[in-house]
Amino acid sequence: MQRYVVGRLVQSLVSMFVVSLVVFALVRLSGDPIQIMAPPEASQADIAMMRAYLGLDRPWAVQYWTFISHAVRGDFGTSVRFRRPAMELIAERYGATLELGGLAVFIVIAVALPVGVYAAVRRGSALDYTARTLAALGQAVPPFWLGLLLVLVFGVMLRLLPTSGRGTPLHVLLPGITLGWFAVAGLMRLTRSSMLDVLGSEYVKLARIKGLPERTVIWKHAFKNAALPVVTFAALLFVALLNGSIIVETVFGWPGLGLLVIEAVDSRDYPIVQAVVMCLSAMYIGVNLLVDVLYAYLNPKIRYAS
Amino acid sequence: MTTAAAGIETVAPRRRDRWPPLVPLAIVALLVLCGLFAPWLAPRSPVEGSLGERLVAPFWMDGAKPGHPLGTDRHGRDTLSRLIHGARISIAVSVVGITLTGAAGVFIGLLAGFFGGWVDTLLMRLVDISLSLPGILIAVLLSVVFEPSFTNVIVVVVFLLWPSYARLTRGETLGLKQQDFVALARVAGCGSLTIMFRHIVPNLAPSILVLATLHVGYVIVLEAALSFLGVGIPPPTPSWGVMVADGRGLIEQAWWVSILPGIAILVTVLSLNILGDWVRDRLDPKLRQV
Repeated sequence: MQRYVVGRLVQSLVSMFVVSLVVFALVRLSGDPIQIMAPPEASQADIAMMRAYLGLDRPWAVQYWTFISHAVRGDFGTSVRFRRPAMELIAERYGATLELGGLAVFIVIAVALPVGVYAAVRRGSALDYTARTLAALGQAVPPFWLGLLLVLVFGVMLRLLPTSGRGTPLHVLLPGITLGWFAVAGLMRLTRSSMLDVLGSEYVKLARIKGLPERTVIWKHAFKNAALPVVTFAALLFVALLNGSIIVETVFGWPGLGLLVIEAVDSRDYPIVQAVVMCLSAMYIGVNLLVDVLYAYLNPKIRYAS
Repeated sequence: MTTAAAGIETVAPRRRDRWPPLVPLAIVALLVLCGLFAPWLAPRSPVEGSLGERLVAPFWMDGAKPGHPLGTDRHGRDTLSRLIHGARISIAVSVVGITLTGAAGVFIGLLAGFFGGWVDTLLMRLVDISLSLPGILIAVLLSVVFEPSFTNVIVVVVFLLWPSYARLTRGETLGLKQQDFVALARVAGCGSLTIMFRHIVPNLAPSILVLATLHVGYVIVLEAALSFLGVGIPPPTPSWGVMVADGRGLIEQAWWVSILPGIAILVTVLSLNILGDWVRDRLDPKLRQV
């Protein structure tokens, strides 16, 4: 177990290193920043001075070290557009993203788990059929389009809900549903098939023969065992939510990290893009690590293997 | 999973499973036709509009004009023509993207599975790392550095999907190289390269084909999402994602501009997924668990 955890930890660090290298290299590849910054009448000496001032005359390895040592301390430079430190802007915005993600996770768990479980228990019923149709649709409906459809129906036609920005609790409803929908289908499918596996097992039969109430059989005996593959899905869920939040925030003008980075792309605001990509990647890699370790802990087959 | 054998679904082979589901097949065929013959099928230019015909409604609504059955967008461009040309983009991205991804993934998986040892360890670590990087953020980064383009979309597709081909190929290769025909080929004097490409690769084809079919719908949605965000296919090229993005601010006056291309994506991807499931069940039922 310890060896496994350490191995995964090292691998996560390597992943983070690769992300930082990619971010660093891509931004350097994009052209000489001096060309953009220096006025056209600048002399050769001025340009050389600027280069030295920004550290661009030093070897790549040194430049990378400067970049990474600043990044670790949360210093990604100053936003070109807002003229404020990139990290400050991230700190301002991430609360909004968390709020949106929180609602989405709630929707996913509240809808996908019970529907998945009961679709398996009542296999072939109307509920099962509806669940499977929803799951098939979930994979095919592009989330950005679903968002616009909800805006059209609830905002424009019914005039029930606000469709853009953040403010009242009602504002988070449409983006939350759009983001949640993204992941409901996958989790529902997985829960259903995992439950079907378990429901056919000997120990569930035994629990039924013992005369336990159906609810106990389903939730205590079957679901507990079916939950293991579902835990792995937590990592995928996070990926879906992360990718989804960039899209959903753009659709609904939700002022979170996703919108921040897309706006930064439009205005070529490199420091912001670098900072958001590094922060979100770190979260992403961290959650993956956490889920793998949790999975190993929950699954004795892995726990005792190493 | 937890219990072997106990929960296996026993599905009696049904007669109708021998034929592909007809409605999805027809839709996909229509789409391919649109993609191939877009310039001849589309009634108007997909990128040039006339400003006098801006935001014309589709034929079943008030304000429709003859010649624009599905209405026009903000620049007076014909929606139907743009949809037909958009099919071309979706097909191009999925064909080019999946072919390149498949080739790269299969090659890497083959090397890892066939040679084993440190080659295997190294390549599989690469797979792990690749899987742990957030793809959409890489796309965002790419589009800041290089202008958004078709190539960017392909890079992102390859980046996101190659690990699944590498893993699948490696697993299958591990099994295949134990088989007698590989030993016999070795005895007959075949080199490693010949064995890999002449004897093992043909046996991988069904599984790879299944995986590729299942990925087509995913790639189409991915391209649309990237283009919608402005980090994929650049406007005015009529990608379906670009079209949805174009209509975003117009949802109150002209919903058709963004809703119609969305329906095109939905119907296409749904059909492709149904066909993909059918291909999987026909060719490789053991992938059912994947």
